[in-house]
Amino acid sequence: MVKRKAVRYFGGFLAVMLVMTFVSRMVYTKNLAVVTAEKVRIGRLSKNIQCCGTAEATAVKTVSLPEGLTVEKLTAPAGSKVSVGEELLRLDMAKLRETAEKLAREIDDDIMNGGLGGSGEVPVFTESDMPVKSVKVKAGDKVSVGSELFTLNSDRLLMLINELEAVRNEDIIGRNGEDSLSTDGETVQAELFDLSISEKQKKIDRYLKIYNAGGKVCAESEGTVTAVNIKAGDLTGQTAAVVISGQAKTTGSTAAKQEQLDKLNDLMAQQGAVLSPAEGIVTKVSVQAGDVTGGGAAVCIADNTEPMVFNADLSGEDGRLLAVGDSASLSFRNGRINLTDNRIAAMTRSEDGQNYRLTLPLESDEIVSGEVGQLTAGAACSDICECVPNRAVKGSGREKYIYLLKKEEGFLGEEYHAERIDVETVMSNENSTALKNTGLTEEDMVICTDKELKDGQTVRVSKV
Amino acid sequence: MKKLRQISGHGAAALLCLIICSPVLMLVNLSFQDSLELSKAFVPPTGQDLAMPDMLPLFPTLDNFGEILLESPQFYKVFWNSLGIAAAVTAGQLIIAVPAAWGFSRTKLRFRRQLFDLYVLLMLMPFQVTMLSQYIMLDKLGLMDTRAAIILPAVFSAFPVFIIYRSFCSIPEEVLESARIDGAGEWQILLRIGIPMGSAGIMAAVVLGFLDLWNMVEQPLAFIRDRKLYPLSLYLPMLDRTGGSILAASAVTLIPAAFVFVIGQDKLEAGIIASAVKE
Repeated sequence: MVKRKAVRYFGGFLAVMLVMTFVSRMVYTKNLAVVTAEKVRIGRLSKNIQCCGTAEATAVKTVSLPEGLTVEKLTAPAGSKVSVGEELLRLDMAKLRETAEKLAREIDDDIMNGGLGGSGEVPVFTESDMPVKSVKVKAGDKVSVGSELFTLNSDRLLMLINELEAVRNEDIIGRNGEDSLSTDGETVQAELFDLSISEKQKKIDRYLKIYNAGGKVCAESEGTVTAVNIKAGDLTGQTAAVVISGQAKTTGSTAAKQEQLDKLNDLMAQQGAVLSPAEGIVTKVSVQAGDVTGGGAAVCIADNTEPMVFNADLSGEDGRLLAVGDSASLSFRNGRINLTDNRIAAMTRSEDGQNYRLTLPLESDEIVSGEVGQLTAGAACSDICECVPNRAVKGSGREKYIYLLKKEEGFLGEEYHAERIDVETVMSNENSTALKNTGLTEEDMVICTDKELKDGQTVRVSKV
Repeated sequence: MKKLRQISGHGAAALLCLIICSPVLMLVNLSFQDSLELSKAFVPPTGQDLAMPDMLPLFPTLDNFGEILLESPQFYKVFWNSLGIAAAVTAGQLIIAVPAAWGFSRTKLRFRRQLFDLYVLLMLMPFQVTMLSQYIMLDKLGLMDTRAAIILPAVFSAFPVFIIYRSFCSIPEEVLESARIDGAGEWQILLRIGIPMGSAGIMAAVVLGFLDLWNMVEQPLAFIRDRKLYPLSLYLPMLDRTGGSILAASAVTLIPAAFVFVIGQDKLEAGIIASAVKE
């Protein structure tokens, strides 16, 4: 009886084991990661590098305006395309006329005071408390216009210029505030501001001229040095640093005034219209309607008649694959204009050292300055590397790895295991990544998986 | 007094039985413990010299059985491998051993006795002695790394011949004579009289053979490389020894052997007794 039961139970046990065999295989299959694999390829990886950039003019024309004029209307704002002689902005005629008359009177005064064709002593002043670096003349020396008299400390000069500019800017802000109020009593105040701004601007211009000349103070008249009141290491004082006497010729300042007057007369002849000196794109406008001109460049125009360049910024990874002389194609206006075989003329590294700036000469009559285009350049990895599909490379940053498939004979027959290999990437294109010295040859690697993998995990391969 | 002696005798027998069964009980007990409890049981805290597993699991779990029975198809693969090898060998042994034993016990050949002694001598040789010759032979036959490499040598084992021989010897000669008078041939006598009357010995050979084959280690270790063909005895040591899955697998492995023993227990006893009778 017991034996019969035991036989029955043993049969039942074997039946259960048979069923469980299937069940366990189902569970095992469900938990198994299904992967697709591909072989590692050995070769040289190429890549199409693409980046956006801008067509920029190599020649920029600036339009300077005499200081103290009022802008009535801005006709060509930044970005406008202008041709030669086209109106850029219009100046207030009343202010223009007033400035011209004032300047004409100043020139007359200069002439009366012997600035032109007279004789006498010409003192050379500078701002006080300026350290003198060196003195180049001594009493009795003959000097001509432009001869170096002495040299000032450039650093101190720059500080002075900055200080003067700050004060002038404050005055400009103050004057603009007065203008907006525009009551009768405050019109006088505004004029005082204008005068102050004008004086400071003159000083700034003079010191800038000295600074740009490396701190050298030059003679503005011809004659004999009669007195030198400074020596190297001194600080300049309220008195004249150098005195020049003799037959004076036309001084630089009077000539400049005359030149400025001519300019004002020209502007008046054009009814206050400031015209474009070149054909191109207005890249910068530093004045607005109602502003008082400061004497510097008011409008910058990228000259389209001059050769242009294409400038593009490239990431460091891509930049390392290109070199000066490499060919690249450029595409503008959504591919309507394509320029092939453009050579990279220059490559410079950005300040942070992470990016590169490419410069290519642009030879096209259709492209204008400021147009955005796309650069495409083919680059190939310099060495023969192990190339794997991008999807096979896992991880981020410097910690990148791939999974290789290792075939082993297991209890259930051929089994595949995913073995993690840490890798270093050389370059990558849209499909593949080149790896550095992994030593892989023809191994199968996991391309994609339906479950997250772990090192050594058994996987099921759906496609090799 | 007699009763007291009887009780004490039973108590001593029960205690002895418990001591003998303790490894199996311990195995079953531990297979229900999780890896944390097992690690504490087998890695005693500093200062204690002996590992002291709990008599009953404090946190019983079926995880070990779940892991081995649900998540390890490999276990079933080796289970069926073991069962297949054991069944094939046992069947083969019966086919070879029964006629051989009948021949030794009932034929009137010259040197029969000497041949049988030589056969018994082969039985006494351990596997390690015959392994090399078996290896060379199997290699020449191209059977290495196949199931036949285990089955074929085992089929020709001398042990079942020895057990069955004793059983056949115990059949009275008169019974066979009367069968011959009734016109039965030698094969008929073997099938109709010999096997039924010697069934105790045959069953004893089956049970002992199965238990031996179920736990066989050396032969598969020597002749099999392919893991697909591994039996349970080679699979169990490959399991994670720090977890409880190996204990659960061992517990399940015991079941077929236990069934076979229960099924053939009475015949096994009779067969052993028969083989112990002096000729």
